[in-house]
This record gives sequence, C-alpha cells and structure tokens, in this order.
Amino acid sequence: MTPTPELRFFSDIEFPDQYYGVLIRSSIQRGHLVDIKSPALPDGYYLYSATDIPGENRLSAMGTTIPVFTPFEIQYYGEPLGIIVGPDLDVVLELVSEVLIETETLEPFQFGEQFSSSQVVGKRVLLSGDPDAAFSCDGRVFESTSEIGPQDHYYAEPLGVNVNVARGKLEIFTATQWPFHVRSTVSAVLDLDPCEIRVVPTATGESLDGKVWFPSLLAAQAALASVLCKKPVKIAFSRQEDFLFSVKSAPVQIRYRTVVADDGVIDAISARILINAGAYSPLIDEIVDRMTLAATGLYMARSYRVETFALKTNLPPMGALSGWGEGQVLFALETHLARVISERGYSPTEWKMMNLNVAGHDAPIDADMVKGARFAELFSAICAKSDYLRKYSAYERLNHARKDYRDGPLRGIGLVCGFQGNGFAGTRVGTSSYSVEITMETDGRVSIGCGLNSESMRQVITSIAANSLGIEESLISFTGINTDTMPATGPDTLSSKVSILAPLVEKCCATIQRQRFRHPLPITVKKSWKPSAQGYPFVSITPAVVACELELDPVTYDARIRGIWVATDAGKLYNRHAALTTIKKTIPIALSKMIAEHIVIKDGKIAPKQSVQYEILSPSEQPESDVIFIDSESDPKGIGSISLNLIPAAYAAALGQITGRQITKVPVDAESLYEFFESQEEAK
Amino acid sequence: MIIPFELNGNMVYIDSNPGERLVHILRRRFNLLTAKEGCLSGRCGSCMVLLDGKPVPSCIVPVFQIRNSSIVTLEHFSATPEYHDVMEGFANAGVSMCGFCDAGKIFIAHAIVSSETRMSKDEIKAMFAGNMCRCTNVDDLVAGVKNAIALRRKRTNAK
Repeated sequence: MTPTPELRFFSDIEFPDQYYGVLIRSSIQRGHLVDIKSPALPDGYYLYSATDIPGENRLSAMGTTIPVFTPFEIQYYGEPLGIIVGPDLDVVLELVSEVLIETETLEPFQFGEQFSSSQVVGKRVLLSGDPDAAFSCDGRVFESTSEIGPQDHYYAEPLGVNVNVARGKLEIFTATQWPFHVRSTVSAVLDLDPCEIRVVPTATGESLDGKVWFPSLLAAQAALASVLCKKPVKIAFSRQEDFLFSVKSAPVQIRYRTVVADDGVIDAISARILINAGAYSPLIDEIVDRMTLAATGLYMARSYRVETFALKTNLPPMGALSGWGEGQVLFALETHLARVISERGYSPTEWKMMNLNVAGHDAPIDADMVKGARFAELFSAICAKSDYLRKYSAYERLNHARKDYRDGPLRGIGLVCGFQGNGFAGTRVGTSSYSVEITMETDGRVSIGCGLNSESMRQVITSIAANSLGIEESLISFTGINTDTMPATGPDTLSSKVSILAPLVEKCCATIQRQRFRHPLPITVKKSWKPSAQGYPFVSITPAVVACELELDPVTYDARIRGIWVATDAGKLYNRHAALTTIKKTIPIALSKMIAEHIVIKDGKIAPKQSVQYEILSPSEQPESDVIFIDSESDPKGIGSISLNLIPAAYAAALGQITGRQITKVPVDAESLYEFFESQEEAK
Repeated sequence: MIIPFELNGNMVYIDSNPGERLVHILRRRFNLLTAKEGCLSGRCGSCMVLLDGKPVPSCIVPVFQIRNSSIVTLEHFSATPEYHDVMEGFANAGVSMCGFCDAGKIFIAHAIVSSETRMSKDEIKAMFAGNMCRCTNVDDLVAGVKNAIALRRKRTNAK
C-alpha cells in the first residue's frame, strides 16, 4: 500500500517565496582552508559559512562530532565549507561554480595495516582463553583476509531538507530516521531552544540506514541559511550529488585465523578487523561494537581474540549499512569456515551444530540468547527444504573430481548461520530510549503515537493493536508525526522499532484492555523503554540459517541462482505477510551488494560518472526463494538485516565450493571469476 | 521554443529550452508531483508517465520529443477505472510500496494488464526491470499484476 497522506516526501514540499541552497565544497582531500572568495552576489542571494553560525559549529552523534561548515581543517574531498542560497536554483548553481577556494594541501591519511595511533578513532579488544597457545601448537592454522569495499545505500529519494518558519517555529521537513537528533542538532547550531524547532519527518522509503544522521547535518545547514536570510530554504541533492557526497558503508579488511582441534571443535579464533571510518563517522562506536561482537558469530570457541580498529582517513564520512557491520564480519567468518569445513571434510551442518553449543566454551553475546537460538530446528528446516545435505555431498565430489573447469555443470551450495542483533549494542544510553502512547477515544477509535515514518512498521503496529484490543484495523490511526506531538524516540534503525516498540504497543493495549470496561473513555496509556547501562548487548538476537545454490556458466562466468532458502526465528509474527515481504524484498538488495555494487575512490574522490555507472541488481531479478519462520511465542524480533547479514556469505560459500577457493572480495562479478579461472589455467 | 502537447487531457503550450527534462517541466511548472525526481538517468522509474499511452521515464525525455504528444501523469490516471484495476489487484496481493516509486510500478503494471500478450511470471518480473525502488517484494508485485489482469477482464467482460 502507498503511504498514508501525512507521510509526504520532502522533495514535494515547496513554500511560497522558496529559496534554494547549494553547498560549497572543498576541492582537496586534506588541508587548510585559507579563504572562500565569493563571486559578486545578485540581490537576494547570500553566502554563509562557519563564521555565520551563532551556536556550536558541530553535529554530535554517539560520541563523534562533525563540523556543519568546516572553519579551517579540511578532512575530505567535497566537505561542506559554506552554502549559497537564493530564489533561482540555476543561478545558485552557477554562483557556487564561480566560488574560489584558497587552500593549503596536506598529505592524506591512508588506510591499511600500517597506521598511526592518531588515526585510531575506535578500538575494541575481546579476549577469552589463551588463543596464542593454540596458534603456537603444531596444528594447521587456517588464515584468510577478506576485503569489502564501500557501497552506496541507493535509496529512492535523494537526500534533502526544507526549512520554513511557521506558526512561530522553525519547521524542518526531512526524510530522517532520527527526528529528535535533527532537532537537537539544529538547536545547538542555531543556539535555539529545542521547543522553538519542529521537525516533521517525511517518508524515508527503504533507506538501508543511510538516513540516520546525515539529514541532521543538512538540516543544520539549511536552517542556518533560512534563519539568516529569513526565507524558507530547501537543499535537495541530485542523485549525483547524493552519490558523490553522502555517507557510504565503511570499507573493511578482516583477517581471520583459526585452529580446529582433531575432534572438530574450534580451538581458537583470532579476528583482526580494520574499518576505514573516513574523515568522520558519527556511528563508528556502534559499528565497532557490533563488528567485534559478531566476529565469532554465535560459535563457541575454546579461546578467541577479536581486535577491531576504526581508522580515520581522508575519505568522505563512512557509516553504517543495514546491519551496521554485522554482515561484513559474518561474510568473512562464514566464508573462512566454509573453507575449513571443506578442507577438513566435515559435514557442514554437523560441524556447525557442534560448535554452536559447546559446554564450557565462551561467546561474546549473552549465553542465554545464544542457547535460546533454535539452530537445530533452523538447520533441519533448511536441509529439508533445500535438500542441502545431498547437494553438498554431490557437488563436493563432482567439483573435486573435475579435471577441467569447463566440464559442467559447475554447481555449489553454501550454508551459513548467524544472527541479527536487535537494538543497540547496549552502550548508547540516553540516545536510544523509546516510548509509545496509545489513546482509546470515546467512539472506540484508537490513536497511536510512536514516531513511526515507516509504512511497513505501521502495518505491523496496526496489526498488533487491532489484535490486542479486538477491534477493526480501520479504527486505528497514528497521531501526527512531528517532534511536538510524538514521544521522544531514538533512531529508527537496527530493528529497534519492531523489537522495542512492538512489545510496548502490546503492553499499552493490554493496560487499555484491562481498564476500558472499568474506567470512562478516553483512556491514554504511555509506556517507555530505556536501555540498561549494564549487561549484555542487544535487546534480542534473531538467529537465522541461509542456504544458496548456484550454477556457474563456464563460458560467460555468470552465476545463476538455483535457489535461496532462509530460515529464521523471528519471534511472534503479528503480520506474516509483512514479515515475508521484509525478508524477500531485501534478498535482491543483499545479492546486489554481493555481486554488483562497487565504488572506486581514487585520491579521496569518487568519479562523477560512477553515479550513473554504479551497478545495481534490479529488484525484478529477485530469485526464487523460500522463507521459513519457525513457530515461536517469544517477543517479536527484527528481520530487516537477516538477508544482508547472511545471503552474501551463503552466496560466496556456494561460489567457494565451485571454485575450490575462498571468496574474499566483495563484490564478486563475472569479470573477477573469469580472471580467477584464467589464472588457474595458466598455473597448470 | 514553444512546445504544444496534451497534458492530462488538456492541450498546453510551454515555452522551454528544448532539452529540458520532462520531469522538471511537470513538477516545476505544473506542480504534478507524482512524477518524482529519483535517478535522473532513466533507471529508477519513479518519474514514469504515459507518453502516447506507453510508460516512459520522464527524466530522460527532453521536452522537444513530446511536441503534439499526449502525456498522462498519475494524478490524472488515478481517476480512471484502469488505475483501480491495478490498485485493487495490488491490494489483494498485499503489495507494499514506499510511495516514491508508485508511478513506475502502477504504469508498468497498467502496461502489462493492457497488453494482449499473455506473460509468464519471469516476463512480468522482467517488465519491472526499470523500477529500481527496493520497497516491494517482487513476488507480491507479480501476484498483484495477475490479480489486476483478472479484474480488468472481469470488468471489460461485464460491459
């Protein structure tokens, strides 16, 4: 269904006397800003920069700050230095192209194993047992390094914001996953009381977490201009500007070493994770936490060491893609383990099950959550649906016996297991509290206030409320969503809405249900959730098992997907169809990340032509897939990142079975497979 | 350059640079906002309109190409029974859309429903290749189109 009327798109909103803003950007990767030389500005056109900011020149999110307009130190190519606004967009664009920027250039920071301590912006180390002792023994050490490049979120509507003064308040329309962060940022930048600012979140569409904090930066820039020139100001990125200068997923390099004992149990895992955080990465703490926690999957090794470093470089801001790094780590881990399993000749399902539940062994995630993960049922469901065991054995035999790779068919099947962490990793107290307020009116109508601007989540919440109160869905509506009328909530990400809001809605409805025949209507009930300062990460985890079967064409090197199977325990399902849609629609996105999406950043710059050359798998190429939800009565769990977290790994494991090599780079396309097979031929 | 064309059933004349994108003309001069500015390269389908009855991405149509042609946007199309066939078909299949890509999905579905060719599931899916929005389960979309075909047949047979 299309969004409800109040969920508009910011790009459709125009005000009378509208001004348009275009950002002035740095033309060097690292250095100092000496001067901004403005062209002669016609009447009604203005240039604003850092010196015009009345409050604090910074956006803060989760412990990291980023300047709204850089005053002196340039940290990346394309960094905003100022803004020109005026009534005619074409004139503004021309004026921006005439701005002269005087700079002094400095040597940029590089990304790699050789880094200085000043580059480290995030670090976590997890140690359990004595992995060094295991690595120093005679047993075979398996080692691999995976590299995953930056990728774009490629949401439908490019980023932007429209700011207007209305009803005595500064009103901000933007597609944001975190409206209260927009408000606090603008408040700090303009030195205004938050009560003087109303943020109206517009529809985000499928943003894949590309709209968590960046809209707050744009809002601050547009709001500054709007207040100073006393006109409504709109910044609307073109697709190209969005592609070149918005946040990308952080590139990572992950090195795994493992030792497996003779009995098949993992003796030691060592993971060294390097994250390219770019010039700024406001979400980096959370990304570092999640990647560190996901580094051993849910496997219980006798000992492990995980070292994660986030490194500052002079690339544009790097951030989170849906899953916030879990997918990259699970890709590297599962492809590494697939190689171990193949070389040692284990049965993948038996070996995984054995190492998922080892008495006395340790894992970084709450043991109860891990033990509660019903992997035996998930593996069993996948094997039954996909015929995995027979296919895996047959393909192993065929692929090992093959003398020439052109002797087809080249088939492989990959099976991986892992999880999605729901909610934050637990250290973001204060930024991630959530509330729900529900009112049952005298006519039986119900209004829900929970700050949702996602249509699919509204469907789920509507189903829950209708079911709990025993009323028609048509009687349920959502209160106006803006920061004046909705309860303060943290960012709409990491499935926090389904894993936190859904139980809150249930509790509110249960309270109303108890009171409605004893107390007069209307009845209003509010419930809130705050993360605890101590304890284990995540509100919950969603365990899943995924299989992917491929056939590789030995002439074109195109890999055809013969099937994808996903089994998960998503807790109680209020709306099975919505849950199925969530997983199915993210399958082509995950595949697109695995086989198509590739960005080249040279000297800190993305070439403009890449914005139209960026390969994306069309949703119409969604392969045949089976999704299995095992029956559960536990609280609902997030499923939005399951495909992105596990399908690339399953795809790579299948390709690994065909090629006999571990796939270590993402994306992997026909050209790279061609090069791989050619190099094998030459080696003969 | 003066360019005459029929827009949503009315003849209009615009004075425009001939290379101006049709989507800009529709949004900025006529405030027809169902044609969205997405990729501006003809890939995402969010700016879809009917040009002489056929779906085209209006971001890659220069306005000189529409001289004396008929353009229909979703604003106008949504008042037709053909639109309701598609929307009812989608609703019955539980198709979810983010709203940004509606024009693309609805006009492509309309083209399939109006086509005299009987299409397989894969052929229907392939028709949506020019729609890059990631908000929908394509299996639902195919089911929605099939529903719409049945509804259209039922409606036309009833006449």
